[in-house]
Amino acid sequence: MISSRAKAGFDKMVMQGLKAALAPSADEVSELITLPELRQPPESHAALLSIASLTFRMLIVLHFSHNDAMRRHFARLSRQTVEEMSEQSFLDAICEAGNLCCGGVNRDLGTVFPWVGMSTPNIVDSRCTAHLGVLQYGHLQHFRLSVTDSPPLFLTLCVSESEDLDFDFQLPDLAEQGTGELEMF
Amino acid sequence: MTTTLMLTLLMGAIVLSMLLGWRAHRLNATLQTMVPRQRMEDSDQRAKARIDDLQDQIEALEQRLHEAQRHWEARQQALIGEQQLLLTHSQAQASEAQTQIASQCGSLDRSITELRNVGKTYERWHASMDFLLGHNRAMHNKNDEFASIVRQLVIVALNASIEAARAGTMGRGFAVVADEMRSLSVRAEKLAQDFRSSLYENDLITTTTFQDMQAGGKMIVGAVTGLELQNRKILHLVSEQDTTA
Repeated sequence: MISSRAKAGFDKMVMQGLKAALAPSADEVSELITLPELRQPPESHAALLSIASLTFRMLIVLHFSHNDAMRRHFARLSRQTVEEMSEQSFLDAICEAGNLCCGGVNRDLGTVFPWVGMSTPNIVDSRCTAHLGVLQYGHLQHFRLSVTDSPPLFLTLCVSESEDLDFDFQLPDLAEQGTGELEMF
Repeated sequence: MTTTLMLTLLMGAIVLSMLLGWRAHRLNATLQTMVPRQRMEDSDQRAKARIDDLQDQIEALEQRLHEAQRHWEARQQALIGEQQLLLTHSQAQASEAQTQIASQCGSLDRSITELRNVGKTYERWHASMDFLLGHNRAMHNKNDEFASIVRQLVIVALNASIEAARAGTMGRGFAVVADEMRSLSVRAEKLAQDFRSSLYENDLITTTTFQDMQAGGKMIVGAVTGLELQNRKILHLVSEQDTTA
């Protein structure tokens, strides 16, 4: 079982990672909220990233579609023009943003858990996410990030624990806070 | 003349009496000092005897002191010898332990270095996952084709039912077959949908399992790196001990 404050801690970490990785700047984040449920599937594809610890595994699902609005957003995020963005560089930009988000969460988790590790991203069809129940999660949370001049971005957090989890996570001071580190593989 | 004589005699008597007085005084003084001197001589005798006695005691004590000193020196030498022996033994043991620690640390360091190559297994896992996902994609394609055929079958079965109805009583038997075909097609379509759903579930399980293994591997590498740092610190301390010994 995951305690309420542990769930809140996971959510805080993900929201912090989302803001740092999926918006060009903090000023452009107009809204970041949790959603009780998500229409399935919200987009056509998803980038999956995992974080493993001794007592739980965390899956972060970044939903996206191959459409112009999404391409514009990720081109802006990776400082490219839409014209010069190939299909592969579009996917790379999504994976890099996912990596940044997950890296920030991984770093925050490291302040609570002694050993954590992070996977590389994989792209799957969004219809896969209808089966998250097979992961026997103890915590599932959806997020929506609204960024100025960009389509809403959806992210799902899924935590499967192997034993009871309880911790108290407080956001670090802004002065000590840096951007999410990109994990190199 | 007589007066002069008398005066002379008087003067002589006075001088004589003065001399006698002085002599008497001296004698008296001599008599006064004679008694303490005797006492002093007695006292000196006693003091000398006491000094001699004390001298004997001092000599006896000095002798005992020397004996005690000799005894303690001998004891000290024996203790120093024992300590030296123990120290030499301990140093040999410490040196042996240090050599063994250095050897074990070296062995551990080599194992850790080899273990850090676990990254190669990720590549193998990654290749296996890619293979599985590729296999799933091929199954997705086959299933899509199957679903397309089934959809076509449903249409064909529907057309057959219509044709059978047109044929009237003559087509009654054909209508039964067409209905059965339609029923089978609907079941096949449902099966294709379920199969597609299972394939997506399979994709999720494959990907998340691989990611969990990969992330778990990185977690282990992180732990191993921590152990490696600790081991190197121990090795460093051991080599420092070697140089100072």
